[in-house]
Amino acid sequence: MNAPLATVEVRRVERDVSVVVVGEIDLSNADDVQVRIDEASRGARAVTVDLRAVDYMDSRGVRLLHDLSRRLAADGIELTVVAPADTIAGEILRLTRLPGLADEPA
Amino acid sequence: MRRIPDGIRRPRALLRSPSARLGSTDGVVSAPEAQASLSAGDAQRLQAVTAGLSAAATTAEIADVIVNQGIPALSASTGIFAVLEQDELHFVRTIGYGTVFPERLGLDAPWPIVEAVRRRQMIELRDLSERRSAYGVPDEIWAASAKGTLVAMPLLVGSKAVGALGFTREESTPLSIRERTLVETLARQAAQALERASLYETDRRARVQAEGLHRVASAVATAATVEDVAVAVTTEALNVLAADGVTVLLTTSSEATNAEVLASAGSVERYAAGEPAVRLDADTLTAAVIRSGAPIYAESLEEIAAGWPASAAVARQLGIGAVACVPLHVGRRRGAISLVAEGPKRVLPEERTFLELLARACEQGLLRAELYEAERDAHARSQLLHDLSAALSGALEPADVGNAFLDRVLDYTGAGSGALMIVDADGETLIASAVAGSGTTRPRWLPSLPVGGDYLVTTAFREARPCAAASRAELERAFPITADNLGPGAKSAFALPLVVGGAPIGAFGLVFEDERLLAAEDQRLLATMTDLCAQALERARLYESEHRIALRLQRALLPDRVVEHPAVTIAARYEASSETMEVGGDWYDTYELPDGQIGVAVGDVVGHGIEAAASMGRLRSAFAALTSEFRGPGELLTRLDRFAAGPSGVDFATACFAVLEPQTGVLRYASAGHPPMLLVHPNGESTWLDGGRSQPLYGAIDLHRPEASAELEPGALLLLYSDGLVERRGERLSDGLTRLERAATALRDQPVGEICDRVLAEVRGGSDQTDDIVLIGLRALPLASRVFHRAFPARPDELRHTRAAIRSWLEEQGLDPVDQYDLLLTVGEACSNAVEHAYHGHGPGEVEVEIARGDGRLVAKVRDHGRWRQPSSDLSRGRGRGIIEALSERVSVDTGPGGTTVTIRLPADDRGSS
Repeated sequence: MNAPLATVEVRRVERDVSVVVVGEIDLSNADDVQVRIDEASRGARAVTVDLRAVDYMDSRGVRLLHDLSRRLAADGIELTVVAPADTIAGEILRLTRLPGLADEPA
Repeated sequence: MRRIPDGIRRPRALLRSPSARLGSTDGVVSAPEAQASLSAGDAQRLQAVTAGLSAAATTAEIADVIVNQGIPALSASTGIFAVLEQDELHFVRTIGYGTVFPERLGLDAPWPIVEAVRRRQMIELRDLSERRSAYGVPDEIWAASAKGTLVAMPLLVGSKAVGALGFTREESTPLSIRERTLVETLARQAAQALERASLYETDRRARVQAEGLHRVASAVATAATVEDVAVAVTTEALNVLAADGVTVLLTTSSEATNAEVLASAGSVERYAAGEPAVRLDADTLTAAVIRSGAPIYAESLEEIAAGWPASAAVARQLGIGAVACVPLHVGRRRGAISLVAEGPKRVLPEERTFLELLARACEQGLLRAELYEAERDAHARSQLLHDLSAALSGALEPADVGNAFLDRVLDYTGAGSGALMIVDADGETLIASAVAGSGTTRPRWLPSLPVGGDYLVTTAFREARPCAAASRAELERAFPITADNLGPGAKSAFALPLVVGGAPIGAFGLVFEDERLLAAEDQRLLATMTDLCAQALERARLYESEHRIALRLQRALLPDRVVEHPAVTIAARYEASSETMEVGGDWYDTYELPDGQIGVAVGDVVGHGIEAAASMGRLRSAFAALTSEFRGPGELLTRLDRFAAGPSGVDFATACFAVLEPQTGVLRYASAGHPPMLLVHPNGESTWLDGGRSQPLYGAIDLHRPEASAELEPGALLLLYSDGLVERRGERLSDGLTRLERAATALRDQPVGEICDRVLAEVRGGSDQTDDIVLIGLRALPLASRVFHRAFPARPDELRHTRAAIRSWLEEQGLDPVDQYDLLLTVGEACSNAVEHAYHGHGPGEVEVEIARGDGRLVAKVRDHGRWRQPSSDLSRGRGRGIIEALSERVSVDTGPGGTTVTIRLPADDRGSS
């Protein structure tokens, strides 16, 4: 068996959830990553997804974040994506111009 | 009461002839004597009698002549004339009595005229009192008669009485000799005339009957059907016997309780016209005849009523006065011919004989017609079974079997529609394999039915027995769901299970537009047809499953990737035969040998099906094992011989093997009976590598197999293939080779994968492919412009390996993978799309990536060989396409029948992370 393409670390402080994705996101594992983040987001007030350690991400990863932002917004959960412009994830998010997702946290 | 008109009375003078004398009292008077006592007027009268009688053909005409001459000659007021028929006097003429005289009298009746017949003597009575004292005749008769002399005279032929003659007159005077002579002469002439008429009548009837029987016999001989025979019989019975109605009845089988009407004719069609069939246990005349097998002749309503009151009631209603009924025995079936007359009717002995002969002729005719019909039906049935067998033997797929079967069943039964259902693998559902017919009986919905459901077909399947609903009402009562599912035109239905080796594998149902119950022999025939169908289905199922297993086995045994090496690009194609869908024994493999050389092998094991696929797998394994201690291609094939000779070897196989030394481009090769490899040089010249040839592999242990060598300059193309590529039916092998050479030469500058695809398409040229095909292309790459190539199964988890391979190739090329992330991402997007969309529903195909560098650019091609579900895929409209376009200098997407190629052009060096 292959090693997991990406690891998803979840930290929780009260209702603030922080998710750190390390590795690659493609067609083969995007659904798994999404399920992990969804589980982590349950009951949360705010969710932070840190993509700085992602070293491959294509449009499947973009779709994942897009879907996530819509779902969390519907549930009134605040989403922050950590993906600076000089990272792999940041560049593709900029390319695909997803509004409000490519911001660096304060 | 009728009186003789006065004008007819003769003068009494006639009674006083001078030459009269007493005749003998026994009534026999010799002619000369009689003539002597007669007057000239009498002679004239007798002459008129003679003339009249000679023209009289019937009894009634004879009676008219005698009575009309006798009354005036004897001065009589009444005259009667009777003929003797079967011990009864039948009164043909009774002049002067009005309607009071009986039609018949038995020979025991106490009447003077009967006495005269009994005693064969003339009786003369003087007056009424004498008559009353000696005889018991009803007064109303005497009241109608004249009150004087009565004379009664028997009509004798020799000593045989054939009738009687009688007169009464008002005068009570004894007959004179002349009168006596006259009466005797009249009686004698009448008797002779009657005898003559009787003979004539008998002869005529015999002739008519003989002709009738002859006609029946010839009609019967040419009658093809039971109905034709019955019609011929009724026609002749009516003609010959002058009946008013006739019916032929027969039971349908030896166990039947009813006799059905086969044919009837006449003005009174049948005295049981109200019932189309006669119950054999009924208390009727016809039933009695059929039961007893003996004829019954009831000549009057009284006779019918005496024996069969039920029949008499019907007869009275229909105005029937007589019945003649004779039994029929046709094989073990029983019946009757029944004739009726409107009034009372005597059936004479010769008529009875005729009727019984007619019955025998009818029996023979019916028997022959039945045998003929049975034979014709049997022939039709055996022809049907023969046709079905032939059609089924040509049907490979279960649906073909179902259609061939249903077409014939619908044709034979005239059913409106039919469906063949096969149980699925889990045994839970019956799935429609074929549906035929149209119109109002076709089921509304029938893709699959749960086995446990209360449908007609599922019940037949579950209980492994025929199920029938003979009427709409029965269908709705017993199978309400089926009734609802079938169209409103469905009036009856029938289902049979399909059984193979005792286990039901499905069922079929027929729906009829009329209410009917299939006859037993039709059911038997359908059962036989169903057996044939079930066997054919089983055959088709086995064929299908064997084919599927073999195909899967072969796919599993063939490598799912080829060697990736910087010095070469290799593409491999395998195609199963399209015509028979049979699996062949073609195989291929590529190897990286321990000493760094690259090996390519193609082989063909003789045979088809699972065995061939399995042999191919063993041979390929053996080949792979032998390459671990490789010394040379010829030597390897020699060692393969020993494997082929071993217990799990192969009977007969061809193979070729080529080994490339990547540094030098030297190619060593050998061929065991395999068609030659083709080498296409970069300048467009081509060479058939026909050295290193030896016999096919068949286990020759001591054989030394040679090898040969050639040089692959950079850019050269090597093609290995199996014979299916170049062999066509009815064509020389050299034609196929020429076609291959021409196609490969023309395509030599294309990427290897594309060369393989297009060579396959062009060389096959749309003709049916009867064999499977292997084609391998190998390109020797120039060191300076080495190209990345990778082909991988279209699965998501292959994407990461492709990225890894691109990263290591970039490193080999001296490029920083991090700097070249755009290449990784754009190729990744294209691959991801191909994996997701190209082979939807058709198993994992292959995705091919080629990346070439030159002029400071990277050109990547991502190709698939599938068909996209819709041309406007994610790539052409979605984010993936947007990303590729944003990052590349140029991108093009070419979609053709063979697949889609995405070509991406990127700058090679001048981009990097900032």
